[in-house]
Amino acid sequence: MNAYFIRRLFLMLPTLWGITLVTFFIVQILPGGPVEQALSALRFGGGEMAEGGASASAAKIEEEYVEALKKHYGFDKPLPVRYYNWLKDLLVLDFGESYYYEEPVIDVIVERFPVSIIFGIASLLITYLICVPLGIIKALRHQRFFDYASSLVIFAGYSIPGFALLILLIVLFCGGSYYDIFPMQGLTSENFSELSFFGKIADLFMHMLLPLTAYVIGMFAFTTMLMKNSLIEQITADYVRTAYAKGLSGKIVIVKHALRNALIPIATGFSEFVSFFFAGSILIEKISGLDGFGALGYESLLNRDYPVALGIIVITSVTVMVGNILSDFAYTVIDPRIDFK
Amino acid sequence: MRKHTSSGGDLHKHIISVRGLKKHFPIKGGILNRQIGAIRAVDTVSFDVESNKTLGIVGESGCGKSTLARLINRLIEPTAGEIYLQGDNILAWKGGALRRFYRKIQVVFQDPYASLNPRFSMFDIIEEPLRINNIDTKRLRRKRVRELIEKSGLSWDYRNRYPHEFSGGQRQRIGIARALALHPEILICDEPVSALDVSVQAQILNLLMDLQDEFKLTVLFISHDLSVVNKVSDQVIVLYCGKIVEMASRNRIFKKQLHPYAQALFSAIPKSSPHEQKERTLLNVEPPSPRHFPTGCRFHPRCPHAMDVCKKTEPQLENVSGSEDDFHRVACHLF
Amino acid sequence: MAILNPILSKRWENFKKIRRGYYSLIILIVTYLVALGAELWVNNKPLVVYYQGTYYYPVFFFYSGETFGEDYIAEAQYKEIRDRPAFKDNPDNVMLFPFIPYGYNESDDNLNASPPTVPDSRHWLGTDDRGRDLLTRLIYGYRVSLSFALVVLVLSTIVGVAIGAVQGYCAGVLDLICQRVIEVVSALPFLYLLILLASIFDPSITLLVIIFCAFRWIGLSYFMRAEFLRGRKIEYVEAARSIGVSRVGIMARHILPNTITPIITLAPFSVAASIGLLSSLDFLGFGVPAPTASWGEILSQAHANLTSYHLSVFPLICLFITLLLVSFVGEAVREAFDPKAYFRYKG
Repeated sequence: MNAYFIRRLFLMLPTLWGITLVTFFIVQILPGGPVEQALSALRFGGGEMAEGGASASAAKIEEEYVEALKKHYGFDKPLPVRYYNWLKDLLVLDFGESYYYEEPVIDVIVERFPVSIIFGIASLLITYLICVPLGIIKALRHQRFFDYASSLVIFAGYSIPGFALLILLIVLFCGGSYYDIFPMQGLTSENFSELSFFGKIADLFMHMLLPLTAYVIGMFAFTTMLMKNSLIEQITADYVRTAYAKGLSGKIVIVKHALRNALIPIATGFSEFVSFFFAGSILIEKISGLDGFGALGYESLLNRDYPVALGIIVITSVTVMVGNILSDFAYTVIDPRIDFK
Repeated sequence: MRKHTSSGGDLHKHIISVRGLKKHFPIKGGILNRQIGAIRAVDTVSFDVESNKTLGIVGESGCGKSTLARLINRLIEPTAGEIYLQGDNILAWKGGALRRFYRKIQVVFQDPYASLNPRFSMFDIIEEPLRINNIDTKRLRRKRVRELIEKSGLSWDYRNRYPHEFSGGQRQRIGIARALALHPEILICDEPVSALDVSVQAQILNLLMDLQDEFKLTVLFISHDLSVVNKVSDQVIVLYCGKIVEMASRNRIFKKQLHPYAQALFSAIPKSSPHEQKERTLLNVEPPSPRHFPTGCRFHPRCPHAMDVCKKTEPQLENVSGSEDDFHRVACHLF
Repeated sequence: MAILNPILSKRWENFKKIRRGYYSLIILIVTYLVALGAELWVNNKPLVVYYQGTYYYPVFFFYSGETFGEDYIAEAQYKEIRDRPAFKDNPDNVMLFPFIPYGYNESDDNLNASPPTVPDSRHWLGTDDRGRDLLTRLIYGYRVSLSFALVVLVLSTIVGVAIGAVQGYCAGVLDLICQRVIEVVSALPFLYLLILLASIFDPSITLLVIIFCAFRWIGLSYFMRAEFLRGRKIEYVEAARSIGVSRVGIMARHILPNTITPIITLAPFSVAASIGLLSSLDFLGFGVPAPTASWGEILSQAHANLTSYHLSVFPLICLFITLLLVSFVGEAVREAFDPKAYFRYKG
């Protein structure tokens, strides 16, 4: 079995190579790259110079400038060479330098960790502190009042896109038409550094509550239902009936037998912890003005900041793939019946 | 080549001849997922069948009976060996020739519940072979399907019913009608009655024997049930771990089995009368894992008469009857 | 249908018994059909015009301004014409407007406040930031969302089934190559690529459909691959091979009809995902091109006009109800097709 997972890890390499190939070429072939962006900025800003009589020399200056720009961004070399250089640097975890921020991509990405980690940890806490107990209660009270009542929330979670909910929450609670309780934008207030420790936590909480609610709502519904269905499946399994039949009380049967197995699908989700550092959502971060991973990816695409965009794509792909392998691995460790072959 | 294949001319005398047929399924493993071994499901099997006769193939489950059937029907490709149909090597056929070949060899499958497409009506199922091979016009096909349905003991009124509306025995009759639609020369019956109630088994066997006479069929009858094989076969092959261990006419083999494995297998047949004393030969050791067959004779760890030579040398199939016409071949060092 | 009949009709009966899902499906179908005919009841063109003794049907036919005595050959501006003395003075002239007399891209110039205006008797759900009737845009947006989701569903199902079937049935090297390709595609960050492509090419619905389909077939292809891998080992498929049915024939006639379960059970979830994702893209401005009506676009206006509650509440309700109905259908379909998984616990 270990041979299987080692092989899976090795098979990641060709896949990863395929991803770098596809994304690099898509990103580089598309029009509107950094050279063109810088040029249009120049034309827009330096309009007077171009109009000023000596158009021939202006054209020459522009040409030289284009060459310099190309050299600066490495566009003077042919595409395969650029790909080769980028890949070579990637092997030593050097993602290059951001065009836009003009600092190493790694630094730009690491700066965004605080928001991502808050998103990641919040979703973890919600999953284990709310979804699991709620799913268990729903399963035990299946088709009774509590189940139906809580299903309303679940269905809302399934059916409302998080970003739409966030807009409504902002309209309602951020001084739009009704209440003015929460700050509308950002991670912290301006006077954050002057606040006491608890003041800081309260400030963070006020800023993050609405975006976090919107961020986890879909996952909340999904995980709760997963827990509920998984437990119901276990409760109706033959071995649990046997446990009842041999005279064990309901509580013991559920805790000792059913729950342990029902937690398997949930527990394996934990293995995706690698993605915590890169959690985020383009829409929610954009709406709430948070500088997280999603917003960074979005900006880098719009600014044609290719090193950052490619770095993010590579990192997210790797975390997705490693997460998949780890969760399969966790399955085989927890559940001896499962054998990937 | 084996001793009993005296000459190539033999091939034309028999409707089907199998020579040195092997099927090894690879076992993959290790980090690179390379082949690290093989399951020798069918290993160097050779036999001949005369036209309009029935060859019974018996053995315990996992001995390679069904793999042999699938090889002969070309549902899987053999690792080595040849299969001759009236002297032609059918393994060389591809494309159109292979399609024509399919008309000559048909199968009745083991599980009448799995072998009929649940979304086809009885009529569709029996008509399909004709339609696929562009035989006859639609009207003529309808007539032929009706004949087949009635010959198989089914009612034409039920033609639009779906498989789940039929009993197991009726389903197997549909399977037989489908197999006969193309007027094959050879019918492979892969445990055709083992999934059926005992009360229905006899009806299906009688139907098969009637149709064999009517369609002049050669039948390869695969079963683990010796009493069924006794009823239908002219010749019997005993397979053990992918190899033929004994082979003789039905009369000979049911009178006296020579190979210790065959003796054990045949001693398990229930006797018809409770007063009859039966001597059961019991085998203690479990059958070997198909991944690691024993060296020498594959039966030696379970054999009550095992000698030193059995562990080292694999015995060859040899005729011990003294007559080439009514042969009795056995692969055992005792003989 | 005849081939699918015995089992599928039983499933359909099962589905009908799950009333919540069944009624949700009926509501969705009826409202979608009604929305498809939106031009007939939500439009700024009149249904019938009676002008100087002749009947005109502007919803169905094009009439230039000259037809009604105007001095332009572009399409007639019916609301202007209605208010001209030349039209009004003759009592025989009649213009019959639809139930909601606004176009999805028609700005109302006679608002008593600057847009976006809140709901009133003239615009029941208010107007957006360009003075366009919100109800009208929500109705046309419903039509766009659902049509888009259905087109994506059909195309991606065809692709997913075809690729999954070939992978599962042919197995071997082809399967291995496809698996690698799928792994690459599914590891690509879909939303990033979508934004990238949508920001570079001219926005068009065709482009969106292509990009959506390029990613959406993968989920189904996993299931189809598994079904065909299993399918080719079933005895009746071997039986079909041994009577000489061709590969394509076996895949299409023998295996495919028995793999209908994943196709149908995944469909509602695909529809819901497409609707949600399209609204996200519209919100970011990379979705359907302007001035197409879209719920996401209204939500982005809501984000810019936080004091106008109606811009966020109404599209949110529309999204919620639509997605809720779709997920009711999805849940019921799954239960009807796979009753085992929903075995009730009685405790």
